[in-house]
Amino acid sequence: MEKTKEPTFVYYFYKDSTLLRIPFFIKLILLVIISTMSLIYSNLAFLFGLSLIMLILIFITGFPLYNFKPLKFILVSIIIFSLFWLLFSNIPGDEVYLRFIWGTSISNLTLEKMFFAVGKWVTIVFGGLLFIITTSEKQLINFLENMGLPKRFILTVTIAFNTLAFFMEDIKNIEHSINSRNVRKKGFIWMIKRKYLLGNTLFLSNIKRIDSLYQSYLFRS
Amino acid sequence: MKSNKNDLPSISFIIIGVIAGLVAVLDYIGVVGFPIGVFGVSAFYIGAAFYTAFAIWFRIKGLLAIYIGLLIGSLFSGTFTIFAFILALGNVFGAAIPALFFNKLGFNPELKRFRDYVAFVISATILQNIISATWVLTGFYLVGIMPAEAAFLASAGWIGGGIIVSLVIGIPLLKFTTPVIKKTTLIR
Repeated sequence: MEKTKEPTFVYYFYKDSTLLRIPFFIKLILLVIISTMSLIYSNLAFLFGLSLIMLILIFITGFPLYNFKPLKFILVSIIIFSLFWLLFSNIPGDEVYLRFIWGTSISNLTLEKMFFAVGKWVTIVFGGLLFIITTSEKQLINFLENMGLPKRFILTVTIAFNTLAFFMEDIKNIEHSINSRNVRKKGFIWMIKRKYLLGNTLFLSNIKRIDSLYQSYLFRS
Repeated sequence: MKSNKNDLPSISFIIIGVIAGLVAVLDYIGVVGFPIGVFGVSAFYIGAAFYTAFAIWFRIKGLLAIYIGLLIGSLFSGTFTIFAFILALGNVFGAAIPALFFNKLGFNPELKRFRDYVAFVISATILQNIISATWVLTGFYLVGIMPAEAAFLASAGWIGGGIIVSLVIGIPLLKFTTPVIKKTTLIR
């Protein structure tokens, strides 16, 4: 018999997977410890060692990192972020490697600080990624309930998760319909206008749904 | 189980929940955009214009929905870290400014008069972006993941992109969608 799978935020896991069965509370504490340690402890070997361990764990889970859409965004962000440090920071060091005409320079301390910052960032991102790969929304909601948070808050989060699924489906349909109408003009303004069409159509097509849902709750007091 | 009347949730949770779901989707579309090198921040982040409208229409409910939605959105876009809390709060503070302008100072969100446009430009395009950018970038500088020298360029990317998005998306969104929203029972 084929094993059943359970969805986490971004991935499907086998139900008997050890990583999935780790209690939410422990995962959260580990995430907080990793994030805090990365921010406080400025040691390059520690930061990159920790990142490497988490990267290996992500690969062990079988998560297809290369197919993860936001990965491109994260990588480009890291490159631009490193360029910011190199081009615009002016930290005096023992050795100056390069001076720019706008007055800043690259010294040994610039490189050191840049690697610390990138190391902190990468560690925290991988920690967060490992957390969301191995956590399901059911675990999150159970945790919020066990914390004794108000019922209305738990319901709000549950509704948000439930509506998100059909909003994502709507987004695909609207994108398909925009493409089939051949709205393919290029340029920044058109890129923004396309997103406006997408977001506004999504909102307008769902506003009646939200209203009737709201009214049905009102009638039930 | 015996039910207690006080345990019944307030009806607002339904609006907050659905809008939070919508914000999470908008955040997911927006964040996979054009990164400006600061963690989780994109220039031309289209979500900001929608958050302005949600804050104006739904007031405190809208602001709560934006915060919850942004945290949920970060779970799906792989950017769920401690910085996501700073980012979400920055967006909420920013969106609160136009909400205050339009709901407390008597401007019309349907943008019928010239002064409504002026209020929109001042609150939603200029002040909103300046406040969000200042809050988030200061937070990032204090936790040591952004050099002080990059603050000017990062702010320029955020505020410049934000102004374009607010003008291109925010104005038609408020002008043409507010009458539709007013016909529903969601705004009281």
